[in-house]
Amino acid sequence: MVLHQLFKRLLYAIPTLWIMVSLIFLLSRVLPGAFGEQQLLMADESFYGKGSAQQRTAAYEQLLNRTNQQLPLFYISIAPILPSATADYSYLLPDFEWHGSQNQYHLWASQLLKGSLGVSFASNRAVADSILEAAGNTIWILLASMVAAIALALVLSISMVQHNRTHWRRFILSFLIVLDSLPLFVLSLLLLLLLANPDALQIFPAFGLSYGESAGLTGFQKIAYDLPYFILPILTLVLAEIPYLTNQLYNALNTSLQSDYIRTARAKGLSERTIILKHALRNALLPVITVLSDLLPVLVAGTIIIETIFAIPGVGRLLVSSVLARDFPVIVGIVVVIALVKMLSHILADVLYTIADPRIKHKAA
Amino acid sequence: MRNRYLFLISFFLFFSFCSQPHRQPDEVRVRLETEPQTLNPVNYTDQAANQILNLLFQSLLSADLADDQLKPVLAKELPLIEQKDTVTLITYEIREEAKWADGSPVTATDVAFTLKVLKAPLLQNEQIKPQVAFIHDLKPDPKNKRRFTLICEEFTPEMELLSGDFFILPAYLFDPENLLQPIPLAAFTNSLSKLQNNNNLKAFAARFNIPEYSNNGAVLQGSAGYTLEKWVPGQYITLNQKQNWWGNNTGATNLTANPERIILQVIPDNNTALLALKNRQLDVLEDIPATEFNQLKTNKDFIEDYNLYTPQAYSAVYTGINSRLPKFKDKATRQAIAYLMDVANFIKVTQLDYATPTVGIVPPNLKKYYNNKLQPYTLNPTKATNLLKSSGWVQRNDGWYRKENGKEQKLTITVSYKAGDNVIESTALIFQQSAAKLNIPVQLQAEEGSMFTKNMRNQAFELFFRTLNGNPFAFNFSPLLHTSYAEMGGTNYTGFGNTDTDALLNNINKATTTDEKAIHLKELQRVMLDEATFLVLYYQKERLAIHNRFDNVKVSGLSPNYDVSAFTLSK
Repeated sequence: MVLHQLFKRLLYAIPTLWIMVSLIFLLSRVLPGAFGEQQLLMADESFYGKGSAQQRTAAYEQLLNRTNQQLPLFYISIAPILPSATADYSYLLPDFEWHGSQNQYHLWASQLLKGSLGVSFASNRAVADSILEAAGNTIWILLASMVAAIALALVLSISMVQHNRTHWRRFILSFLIVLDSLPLFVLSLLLLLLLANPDALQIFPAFGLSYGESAGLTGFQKIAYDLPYFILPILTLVLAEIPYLTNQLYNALNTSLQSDYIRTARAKGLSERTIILKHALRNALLPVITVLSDLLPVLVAGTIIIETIFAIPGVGRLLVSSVLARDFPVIVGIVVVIALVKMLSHILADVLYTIADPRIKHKAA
Repeated sequence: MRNRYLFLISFFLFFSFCSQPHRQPDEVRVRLETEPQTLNPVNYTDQAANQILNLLFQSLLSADLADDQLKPVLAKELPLIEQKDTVTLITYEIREEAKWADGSPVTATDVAFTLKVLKAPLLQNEQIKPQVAFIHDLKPDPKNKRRFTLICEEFTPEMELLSGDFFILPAYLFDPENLLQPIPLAAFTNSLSKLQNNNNLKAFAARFNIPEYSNNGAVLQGSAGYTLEKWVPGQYITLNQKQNWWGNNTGATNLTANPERIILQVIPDNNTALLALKNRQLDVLEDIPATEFNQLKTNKDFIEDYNLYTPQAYSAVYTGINSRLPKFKDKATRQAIAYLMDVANFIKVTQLDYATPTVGIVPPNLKKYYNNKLQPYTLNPTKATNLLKSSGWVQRNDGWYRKENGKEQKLTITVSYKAGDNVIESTALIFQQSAAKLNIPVQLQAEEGSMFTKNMRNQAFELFFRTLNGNPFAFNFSPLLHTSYAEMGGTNYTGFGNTDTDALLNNINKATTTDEKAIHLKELQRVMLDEATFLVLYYQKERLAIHNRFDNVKVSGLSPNYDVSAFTLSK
């Protein structure tokens, strides 16, 4: 039954995903400037000219041809309205032009259907390879920070709902409000300045993923060597996420604790700890499933900042450098992957809902 | 008991992170702000790639950062240049000692092969193709396989540098099947459409246009003193010194490969890079923000280990006024605007005094060419008021008015600049405040980079601030200032110039002696200052730190501001 539902959800998701990535493809091309334009056509802010403007334009055209950027963007285009061109009012009607299959969207879509995300304009490498390589670090950072943030949020929210901890609750809530008001880049810089600075505490490495000395290490040795480099980025993401997560969990737990079955449990003489952990928590976790599925895009956005500040190679930094260079295949490739993961996480959340609360399954049926 | 164990484990775990990685004294670790997109020696796009490729490959000529002079590298000496009718002949001889990684000599055949790769269709060579378009053919010396003459069209001042400023590729490694050998170099100059169907070229393109020619150390082996050991994307690039490198035997001070290992660490964020420097995990850091640079100056611990440098850069900030607009057509109005440029404040606020005011486009450190008899514009609202009045503007309560083509027009200024450039943005803000003193409304317009350039080309601007780059070798100002570039879409955005200035620019380009060139350049500076259309405000200074365990660092205003291959360990 669950598999059937999963399959149905996947089928529904495909057209949505296709529309989403198609829009991203078309919108990315609306960005002003094209790949290579900056270097070839705008290299004139200098009194040391490397070739004439005519030669640079010819080279730029060669580049456009090589990367298919000279082709029309889509199957149809609308010609600009030129009132002076006609004497009557026919110019008010849109003038559509059909380009056939020789357009950028068609070429990209055919490649995607064959399972290829294309080739990077800048590095000439397969986009999938570049993303896979970069995702290696991002995935670990995301997973570790998600797990740590959830665990910490659980511990904090459970400790706050306990009756005898009013001062603790006030302190934690104030701390979380302060933490929530800090932008991610400020938080990461603060941690860096506090914990990787010879003028303060020099506990963690300031940048990167090892300084190149980990070559030759294997397995556990490499993990142990690389671990310190991951601590600060993960800590930053955890601290950025716990205010929201803790708030959601705390509210859900509080609501659960007002229920009749909790009153019954209390009347049975169960301890506060057992009531929270065994009875209230399971029901409180239900809304958290949705929160977790929403966490992924937030974390991906966060990794862009984290990877830049801590000099860690990852998908976020790859996306930023691709946008700056107008390396469209990489931009669209990353967005396709993120959209796909996001879609899958939503499907997974739906499935988890039905598992956690069978009433939802019956209602849907 | 359990808590004690937990405490002990946490304690040891905590302090296990405290030690910073051990550093080798003979390795140099340099920061890269951005990772190179590619290390393809014919299609690289960024400064980082240029810096690395200079350690792997060599060109015929290059700037020696010790004295900012153009010096022979693979070439035995500076080229012999002869101008004959419409062609220029540039003759080079390659050093006898020059060898490839496999020990074979570098010859004219390699130069011819390189030029074919640079000029060929089908190959990914768009970045460098325009630079060598003026070279039509190469005539090898039949008696000396290391000597050759480049046949070039016409003459421009950059030719000497451009003819020797590209990396020479090893034909034996890049084209082991000699696919390009049967095609003469001259064929790559004219009708390229025929070549596109050439089977040899197609086969070579299929071989060359693959990622291995952009990132593989086994392929990227030139005649310079280093080999590419490893490129870990997004993290670092390591280079190793070649054993028994030929350059060590020449005695030339600009041919060096001293450090055993060079690590180029990618750190995009400035704050992180500064921390890495303070942690002694970087040996060189350039582009240090002025505030942090001043802090480093006063940090005693830091100064014990590092030297700080502020070489004069060849990068200037300038303002352009659109002289085609009726309100800026007359010189007096433009001069009035120039008197509202508070250059001293620009330098103080945006550069913390790490800049030098200039009277014109020639860098002030080039004493021979700089016109030191002129005085740059300084903030002077009184002079600005008088100049506006003299050009017909009438001051009222709400601003300045003048009749243009029968219609009354208010003097307003829209300042355009590239969004995201803090220096330029602050400059524009200071100008806005200065203009407000005279009741001239100034609107600031930050534009996305490519949109900004597009608007410049379309002449859709009033006044802009931007940066200008140059070098001490070539002064071809024609694309910026000649009237032939002033049409719509041209690079003379401001509309500067007339027949006299065009003649002056031509004379600068044709000057055969430095004395003659100096006279013309000084005159150009005078005219530009007087016209106030294209006003260079100041030349910037670089700010960098280098670990003091190194000597012979060759700090310069030329990028990358130091020669890492020259570093030697201090005694």
